[in-house]
Amino acid sequence: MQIGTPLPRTSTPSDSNDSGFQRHLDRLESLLKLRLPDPASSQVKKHCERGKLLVRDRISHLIDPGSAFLELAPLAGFDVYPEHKLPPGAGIVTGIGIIEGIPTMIIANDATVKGGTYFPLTVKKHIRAQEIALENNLPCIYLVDSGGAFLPLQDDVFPDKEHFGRLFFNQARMSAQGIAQISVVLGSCTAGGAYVPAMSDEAIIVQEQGMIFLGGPPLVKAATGEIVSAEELGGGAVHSRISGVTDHLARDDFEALRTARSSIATLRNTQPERIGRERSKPPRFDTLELNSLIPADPRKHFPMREILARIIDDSDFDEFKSQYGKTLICGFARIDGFLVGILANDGILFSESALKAAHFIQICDQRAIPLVFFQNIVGFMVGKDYEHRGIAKDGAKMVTAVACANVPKYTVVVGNSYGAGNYAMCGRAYNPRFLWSWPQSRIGVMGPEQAGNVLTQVRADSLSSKGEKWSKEAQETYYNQIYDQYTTQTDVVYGSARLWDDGIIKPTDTRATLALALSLSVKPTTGTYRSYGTFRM
Amino acid sequence: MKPSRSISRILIANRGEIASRIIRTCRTLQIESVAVFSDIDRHMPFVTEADIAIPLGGSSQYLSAEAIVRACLESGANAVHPGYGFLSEDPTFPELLAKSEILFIGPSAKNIRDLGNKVNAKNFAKLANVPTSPTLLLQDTSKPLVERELDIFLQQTTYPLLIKAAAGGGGRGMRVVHGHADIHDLIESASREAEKSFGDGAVFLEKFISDARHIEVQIAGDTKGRVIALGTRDCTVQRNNQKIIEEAPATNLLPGIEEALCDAACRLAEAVTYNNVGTVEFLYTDDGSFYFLEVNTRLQVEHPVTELVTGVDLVALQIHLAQGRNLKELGFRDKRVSITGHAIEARICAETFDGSFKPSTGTIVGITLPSTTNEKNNSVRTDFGYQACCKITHHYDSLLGKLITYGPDRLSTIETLERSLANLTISGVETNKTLLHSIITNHKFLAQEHSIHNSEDLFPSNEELHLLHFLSSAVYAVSRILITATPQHDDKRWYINSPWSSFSSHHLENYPAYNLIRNTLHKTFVRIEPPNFFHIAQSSPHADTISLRVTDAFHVDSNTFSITCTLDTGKTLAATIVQDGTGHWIHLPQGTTLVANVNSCTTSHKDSNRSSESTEITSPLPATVLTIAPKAGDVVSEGDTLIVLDSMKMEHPIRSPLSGTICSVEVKVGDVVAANQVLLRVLNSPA
Repeated sequence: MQIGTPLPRTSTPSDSNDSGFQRHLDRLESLLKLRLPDPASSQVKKHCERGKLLVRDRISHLIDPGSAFLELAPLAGFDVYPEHKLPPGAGIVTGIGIIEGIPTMIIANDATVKGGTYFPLTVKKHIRAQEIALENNLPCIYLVDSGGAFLPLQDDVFPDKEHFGRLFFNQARMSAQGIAQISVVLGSCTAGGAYVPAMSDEAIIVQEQGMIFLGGPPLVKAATGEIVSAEELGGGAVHSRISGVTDHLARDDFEALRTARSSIATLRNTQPERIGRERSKPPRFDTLELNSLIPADPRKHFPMREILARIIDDSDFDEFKSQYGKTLICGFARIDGFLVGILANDGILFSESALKAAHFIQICDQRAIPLVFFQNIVGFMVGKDYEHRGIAKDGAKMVTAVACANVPKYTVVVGNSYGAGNYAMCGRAYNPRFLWSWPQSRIGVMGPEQAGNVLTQVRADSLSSKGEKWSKEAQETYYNQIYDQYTTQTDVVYGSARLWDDGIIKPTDTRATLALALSLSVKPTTGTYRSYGTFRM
Repeated sequence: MKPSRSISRILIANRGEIASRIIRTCRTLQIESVAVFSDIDRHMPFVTEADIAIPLGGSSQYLSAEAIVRACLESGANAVHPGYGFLSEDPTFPELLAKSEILFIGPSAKNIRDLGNKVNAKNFAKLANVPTSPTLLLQDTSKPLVERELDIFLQQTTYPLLIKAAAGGGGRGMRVVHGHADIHDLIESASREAEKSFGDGAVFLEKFISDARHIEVQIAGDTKGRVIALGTRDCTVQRNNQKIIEEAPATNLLPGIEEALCDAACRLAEAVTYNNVGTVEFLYTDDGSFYFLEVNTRLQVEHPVTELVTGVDLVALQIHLAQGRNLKELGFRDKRVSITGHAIEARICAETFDGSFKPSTGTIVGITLPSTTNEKNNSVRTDFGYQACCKITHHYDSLLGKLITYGPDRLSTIETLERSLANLTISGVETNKTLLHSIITNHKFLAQEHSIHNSEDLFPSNEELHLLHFLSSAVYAVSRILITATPQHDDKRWYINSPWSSFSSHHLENYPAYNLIRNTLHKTFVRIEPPNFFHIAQSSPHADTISLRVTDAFHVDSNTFSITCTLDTGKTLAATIVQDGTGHWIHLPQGTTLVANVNSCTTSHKDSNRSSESTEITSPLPATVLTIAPKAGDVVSEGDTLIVLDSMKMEHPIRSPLSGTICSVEVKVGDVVAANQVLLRVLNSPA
């Protein structure tokens, strides 16, 4: 059924939204610019003078001409380590591009940022890219040009489960699953980093430029007194002719990248069948109208069906249980030709909405239809009446369904993502294949006002139980402090910098972004063993 | 009246477009045709077009009169059409044919002797009261003799002088001498080239008439001694003394000149009882004077323009005249055949223009001729002799074919030519399309302000070539993207059918294409602006930008891709991209460029410190080594001629790019060298 209504031309609220929302888009644009190399910087100049390509140019020479490049977490690390002035991106570029017709995960160090060293969020970004590669069966190419762990923060980089060691664990496990691991050593590759090429199926190195050693010349001298040049210790010639750590010796970046392309071209027979696509039809409404429909202020409600009408094919939506649990919209649609089951919030979650969701998710799982969640949720309904009716167990049914569904899940945070609503709507913890956020969205345990009110109330109660007095001014200061903290922490950029999502996307790119992601999904197998049929909730 | 001799089967002692052209008339006249072909030519269209085809063997066999006679006897041909070039102007050839009772379609041996030699012809012209320029025949090219005769000659004329081969044609053996200094070298080299091309090293000197136009008259004579003129042609646009653009009739002449030229031509022909078709060439200066140049006793390359404005099939006329029919019974009652409309011909040659002209070789991978469907009043004719898979070698002349248009007036005819030239695409070998486009769109050409000596003013400037190369590089960079993203018929590739190939969002800042055009690396970067804008920036060899909005793109076949786009100027640009090995031929309306994609570029810092003490001098083209001046150890100056190469019957001197010492000579006289093959190495001598 066709959904959506034309936008009134002279609608004043939309006009005001338009300008208000533009602010969020502008901020996103300017932050994204910060991740690009500054040609005036001395590191960039020095890098280019050595005959090395910049990281994004390496990727552009590596992927097929004109192929889309789905960059992941471009704002990672932004403002997280203010004392180290790490620019957005955390010194690593990760993303998916097509090489010789094969979708490939590219993980590329940016040596012009802190020598390509690994900050905690660099590690997290690297591991997240590997996770996406694993889930979507994408061969991995590592463009290595890194000084290894960022030593001042070694405690947050080295020892833990999801720290540096995990990189190589993942390489070994993926290789075991037949997901090719290919390294191109374009610069230094020291200590732990040496294992990236060493753990790869195939490794390429550039002569007189790429270096691989467990300990560099200074460390060797300190340890054994041996004096050796870097090239003699672990240069391209050494590893291609003597040690066998690398398989191909390239004259320069270009030749190395071309060799990597040839290597990927041999993976044709390993490519899994990915989900099918039908003829794509554009939405019946101009996608650009999204910018007018979304209020700049996330507290304001916006009509979810109008949003969907500007994202899905032909604005055609087969709604499920449209008359029941109306605050959650469920239904089937196509996104750029890919059949999906959509769950989209249109109000807070009630028991009925949660039951409907649990039912719908089971159907999609049974039919091997990927799920797409559009989150705009402040939470489940609260109050005596609802608790008595067991909203917690109904919410639990929805969470169970989301957690256990075997089909690929994709989440877009289009507005608020608060509390248990985040979980039920397939937040980061529920392993969506990808999770993106809109530029005005907010994520947190609760909104800033609610947090201010709740925490002030709790503290007031606690003080009054002790018989202490709390002045109105002090209460206000406390409230504002909480409010400010939550405003900062629920900001989408704060979360994106910490990899709570895979990136902030423009609403107008939502359809295209989801399509890229959906196309990667390996065809889910139907008829997997299920203990029970679908429960009507 | 019955023709005195009946022709039943014609052997065409030629190849390429002219062989195909003659076969066409044979078919019309219901005469069987016999093609002869060398080994290299066995895939040429004329071989299959002819009713019978006889292999000749080696590439030079077209020049062997004996081989042609043998082929006539083998095939039962009782007449030979010589076309142009090869044996067409050799008087011994008709004589040899006559011994086997084979008819030569052309003038008599006597006619050829009288007029074919330029010096003889000049004498006949003087007798027939046709204006000529001062001439000095050099019986002997020995230095003292030349000096003595030159002294006398320079009393009646002044430099500049022109050296010409007495037996020549087509600009071979021709040299301009501006002063005394290099005259002996030039005479020697002209004589050598003449000997090689025509088997006759005789050369002569004449006054070089500058700022002249080349105007010629098509004539035909019968055995009764009657001669008619079939109008004039203007062949002023030349390069290397060879015609490239020809028009009929010659326009913008002073009143009465056309008539005077035709009369003079007829007088000369009558004086020798000329008995077939021929051409009398003149130089014309805008004060109304004209000088006899030479007679071509054969069918000319540019004959189609005359055919279009007179409606006469000149090949048929040749055949009829050879059979002894006279002009009157063939319907030519007037001395001058009436002319209707205007025709222009562009010679499509396999050659590179980059300031000078170099013959190019290769294998044609694709050839698309413009449609010959008539525009409103104008028509298009294509005389081509090549098809895909044909090899272009340096054994033969570089002419691939001719594009001829006809219309009511000069300007509309030229416009039609421009449009059809834009639609002509030849891939696999470089052609002069860029040069031709530049000439026919040049305002000086349109206004007829050019002369044979300043034709180069019409040639593309360096800026125009740069622009074409940038545009080609840009189109190629975009086509690389579109070729991978555009489905071919029933394309099942995952990428093609995925959103990754649709330009919607999520692109890198730019997509590089490092393109090699004539040894210059073009670093070109494409920024994609969804859905169909492509912004192209070039960083080297010079900075340039352009934006294209692609409105249509499709695969024509497995190696041909077509793009239509709108430029930022609002103009529409249609481009065809043809893949050929590792390169792509980019066809734009204004020219064709071969672009090689160098995914790996060797401009890295590592190569820059390579020692370059000795300079390699390489052959610019495939050729045979004719002479080698220095030997290892010799000291040479910049500009010295080191080696003379011979390719496509033209001499190509290789000069030293620097002063220094020859460290090694890598070839010897007679060697066949490939393009870019090292000839010798020169060590830069310290200043």
